[in-house]
Amino acid sequence: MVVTDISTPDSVGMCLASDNQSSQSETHLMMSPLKRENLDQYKLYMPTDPKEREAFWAMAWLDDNYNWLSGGLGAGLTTLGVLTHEQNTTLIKTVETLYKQYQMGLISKGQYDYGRRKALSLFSQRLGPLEKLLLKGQTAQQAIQIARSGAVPATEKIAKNLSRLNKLSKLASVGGVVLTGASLGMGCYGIAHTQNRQKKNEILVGTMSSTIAGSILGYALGVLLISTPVGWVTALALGAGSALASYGAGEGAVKLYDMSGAKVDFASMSGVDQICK
Amino acid sequence: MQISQELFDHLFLIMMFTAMGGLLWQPPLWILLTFFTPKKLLNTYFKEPHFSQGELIFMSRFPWSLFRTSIFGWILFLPFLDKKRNIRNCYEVMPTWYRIGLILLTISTMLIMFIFFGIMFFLLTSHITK
Repeated sequence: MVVTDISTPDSVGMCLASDNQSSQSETHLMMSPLKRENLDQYKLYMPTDPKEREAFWAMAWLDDNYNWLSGGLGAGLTTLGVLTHEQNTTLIKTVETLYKQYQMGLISKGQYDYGRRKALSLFSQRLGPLEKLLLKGQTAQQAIQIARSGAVPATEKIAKNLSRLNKLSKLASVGGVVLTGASLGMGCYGIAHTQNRQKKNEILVGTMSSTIAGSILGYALGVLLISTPVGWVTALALGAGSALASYGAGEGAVKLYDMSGAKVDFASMSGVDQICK
Repeated sequence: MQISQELFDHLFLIMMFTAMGGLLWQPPLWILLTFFTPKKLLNTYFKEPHFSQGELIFMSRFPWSLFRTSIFGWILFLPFLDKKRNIRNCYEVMPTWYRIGLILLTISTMLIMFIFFGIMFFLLTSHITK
């Protein structure tokens, strides 16, 4: 039986007509409620600590452009850790100090501008050629100004992940290996909310395998680190590589679990299902 | 490679128990050794020219100090790798308990790595005979 597509010329025509007719003000009206709703949510979830806020912004941006949060790979957290470590945040603090001095009248606007540009151009230099790639066309100057003002790219994806982003920014503001904690936490959450016993075991097997693989590979990185002094670019690449590999190990273990017939109930054996309820 | 379902199941169980056991001991041991790294070792070897400026900065804080621990751990077993850093004699300034801890950590990491990844790779590339 052949089914023909029923998009009558009339309905199509009407759609097009209404699109043409919807003026700027109409779309504005349509957008405002959504934006307003988002604003309230943002007020609820935006962290107040400036370090966390910066992490929040960075992760929101990362997710928007690289699908990092939804993609599930931990490389993002490692990147974030490398980008916000001591060397770089000191420069940002310099700008903040300069601003305070300018506000107190200790330096003139010209001096403040000059000092700010100097510090931020040093920051761009430290960031290196990857700056354009990581900041997707924005220079460090623009990115930091946006972060300072507290703005967040208000896309739908971010609106959906706000509470997750808020929790993660607390963790991300502390460092990079937090990935392990975050993935274990998400695994426990998944186990608690799945009814199916097999799925629970799959999640457990996958989480345990990827965590131990991450830890082992992390330790094994030491072998590489002995021979070469490592710059931040290499650290980034190594972190991303081991995150990918541990993700692969998790997937491989789940596949093997299913191939073995899913006979062993790891969740009840290890007591994890009592912990993750 | 053809293997029976029974062999597959047994190997899988060994792999998972190694993973579970390892997960229980390896990360905590690594973290403990990192936090309790003897000051003497740090003062003697954690400075230029053994470590570069950038490394000194980022390996001073947790969690990157873990990498510092792993470097010291591996150098105990693979001193021939140490061409640039010149830290192959670091075992001299380590207290006994720290040395034993590091050796334990490194050996267990190697074992878990071979068993876990070895079995996983083997099982993923083999066929189960019906």
